[in-house]
Amino acid sequence: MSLLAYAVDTLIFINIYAILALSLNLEAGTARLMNFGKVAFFAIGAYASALLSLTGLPFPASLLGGAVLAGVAGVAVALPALRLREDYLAIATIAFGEIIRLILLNERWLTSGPVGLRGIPQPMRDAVQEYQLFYLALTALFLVGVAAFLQVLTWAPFGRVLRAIREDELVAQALGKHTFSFKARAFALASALAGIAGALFAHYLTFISPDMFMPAVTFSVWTMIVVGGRGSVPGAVAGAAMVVMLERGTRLLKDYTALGVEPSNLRMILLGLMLILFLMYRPQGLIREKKYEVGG
Amino acid sequence: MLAGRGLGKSFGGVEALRDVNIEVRRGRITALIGPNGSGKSTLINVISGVYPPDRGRVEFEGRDITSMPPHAVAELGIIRTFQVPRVFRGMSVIENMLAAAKGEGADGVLSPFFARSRVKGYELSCLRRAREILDFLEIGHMRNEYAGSLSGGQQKLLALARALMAEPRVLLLDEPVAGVAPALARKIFEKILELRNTIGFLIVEHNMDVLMDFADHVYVLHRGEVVAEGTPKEVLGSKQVLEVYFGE
Repeated sequence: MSLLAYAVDTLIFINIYAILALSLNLEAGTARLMNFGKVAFFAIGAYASALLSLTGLPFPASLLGGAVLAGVAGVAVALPALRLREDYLAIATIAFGEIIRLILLNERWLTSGPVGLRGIPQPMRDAVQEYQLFYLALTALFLVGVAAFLQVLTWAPFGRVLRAIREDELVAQALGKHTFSFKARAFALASALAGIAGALFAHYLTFISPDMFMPAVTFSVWTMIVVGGRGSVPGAVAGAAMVVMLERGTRLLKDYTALGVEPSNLRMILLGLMLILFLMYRPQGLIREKKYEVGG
Repeated sequence: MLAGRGLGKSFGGVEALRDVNIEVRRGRITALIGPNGSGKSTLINVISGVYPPDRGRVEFEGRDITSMPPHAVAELGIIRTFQVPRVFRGMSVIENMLAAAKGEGADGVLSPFFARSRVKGYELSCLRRAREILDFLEIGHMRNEYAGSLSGGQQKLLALARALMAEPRVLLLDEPVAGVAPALARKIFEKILELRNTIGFLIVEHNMDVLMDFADHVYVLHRGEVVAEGTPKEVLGSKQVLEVYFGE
């Protein structure tokens, strides 16, 4: 792969992961919903969209199907799990992530098990010459759309209630907010957005398998929003760019230096280190959540 | 208007409320006094739906609202504040106010996209009302500060302002002027006097001077029981109240 192709490939991954980070940011950054099973909704979107397109459905319908199915899974998880205290919600979502991965691994009739799904159709593959650039534009379009949608929503009355829930849920209830309903809607919406990211991921790679949806993906996405700035839409995008570049950087490094550590291990070490440093010295992240202000 | 009838609540072996009967009426300021640990905050928590009572019931305008969840109680117009201010610390003062406004259909996921003009009108009217309330409570100049950066007294004022923003029909105020400058505390109670014909007030307060000047009816709680009630003058002269506060 040429350096330019590698750069474009990196940008495509930044766009996809930025959508995933934005979806976690809506849950965890804005509403303090501790979703530690984010990868499950990413995987559901990827597999659902891939399977639908393998049956012959066009890309837009497959992608929509992936998003809807991930959203429905979000509702199914939200109904029991969002009644739990936040630490139990975290545990329940970790478990859900693993359940989904094990289903993907073992339900061979549907997912082909560990072998994974191959030959996932790409949208307009034969109609475009510079396909990578086309896919970069496509993912960028989705990213801009999702970011703009969330920027408006976050600063609208709905987002304000989510922030109030994050700050003190009991007080939000005492002011008449049906907090469960707000949390469930946010969770379902964020799950659907993670499904879109998963679909874009699957159609770009044309191959997916369960080992691409390990809990480490969730850890990376959490790092993206902590580094970027919890609650901040531009922060989540910046965090995704930083983490993806760091992950890619460690892979490149092995071609130029003799490392005593496996690149994948080095990646995890650096991610952990970055997370600790940000939490200690810049807890507000790269781009702090905007403060709502009014003029004189 | 709002009544607790035979309310009882225990935590483990401790009886925090025992057969408490209390009534809040529009047109009068009802105060709740008692030493620390007498059950005042528990009573507010039971009325506002935070704790379900073990015995008795809560009625609002003749309707049984016992064990309703807090948001449903608040939707009826019964708004409470907390002993510790509990402001939304990571949000600006003005946003704290807007978060307390009734949603009126503007807080849906799709509202900012498909009902833009309605949301805009809603935001403008909420902003106008929020500014009026903040200015009255003399914290209007702090509107763009983070709520967490306000002093304790200012946070109390913000909690009160936020409660007023929620369009209450009954306000349950847990020590609303603790830590507030005395002159402003009196001013707040003067405003409460103005509002008492439209809003019912149940106020937990330790500032006896202010209470005696402004309260119309006082309940005295001691070890979870109402030991005295009446006008401030009657209560202050009551032997039981003196025993509660000063011992026999």
